[in-house]
Amino acid sequence: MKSIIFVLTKAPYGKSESEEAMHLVLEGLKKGDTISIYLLSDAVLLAKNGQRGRAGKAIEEVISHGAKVYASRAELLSRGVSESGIIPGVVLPEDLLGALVEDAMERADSTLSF
Amino acid sequence: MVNVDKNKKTLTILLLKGPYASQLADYACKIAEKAIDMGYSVNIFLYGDGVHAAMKGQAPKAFLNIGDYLTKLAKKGVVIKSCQRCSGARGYLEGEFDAEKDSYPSSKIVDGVKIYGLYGFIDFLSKSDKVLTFSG
Repeated sequence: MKSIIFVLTKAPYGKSESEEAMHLVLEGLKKGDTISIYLLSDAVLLAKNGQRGRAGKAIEEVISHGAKVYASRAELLSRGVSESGIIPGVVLPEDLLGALVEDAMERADSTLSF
Repeated sequence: MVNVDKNKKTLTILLLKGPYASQLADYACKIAEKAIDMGYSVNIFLYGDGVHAAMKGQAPKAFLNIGDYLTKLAKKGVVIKSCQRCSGARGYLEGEFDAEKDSYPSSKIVDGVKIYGLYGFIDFLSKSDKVLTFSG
């Protein structure tokens, strides 16, 4: 039972990284790991609601299984996604990078980047 | 240099992408700044195309100047090393290791960045509590 941070930076459907990360997250959750996911750069689009692709659906699934998902409000807005357009349960911290640094340095056993 | 305060935790950031083609260099720098401002020791290692982040004379019109940002971070205490083989392949290297400057010489990279062999990264790893990688 580990605490693991996933840092995602790629758009959900142009590359395979996001989906691969989601598979790992689900496996970790099944084992009982504590998982936080930070969506940076184009990966914020994973937080958009109404996606029919697997990566977006996986975000809903991992949240329902207890993963914490954080995204940048500014990055979402710059891509035309307002707070009402995100998947319920995704958290938009005021200081996302500060939260990531503190989480990584003080709580996580390891960090994985995709 | 690194880990002066033994209780101070160290974050190492590995950057494998150059600036202005993605946001990864921006994020690497912003996270480094956040972490050093929060009181952590921070290292950045530039590898592969990441060495372009340290190129001197960058003048982007609409983007954050990553070269200037690295110099600013170094002044704040972030230790920044750039891979020697990657730098050589991309035309930044100008001679053999200079022990006095503790870097391979280059007039083509910004102040605050030192060019090291890959063992410089191994050294970072051995002294780090966490590593964040920006690649792809």
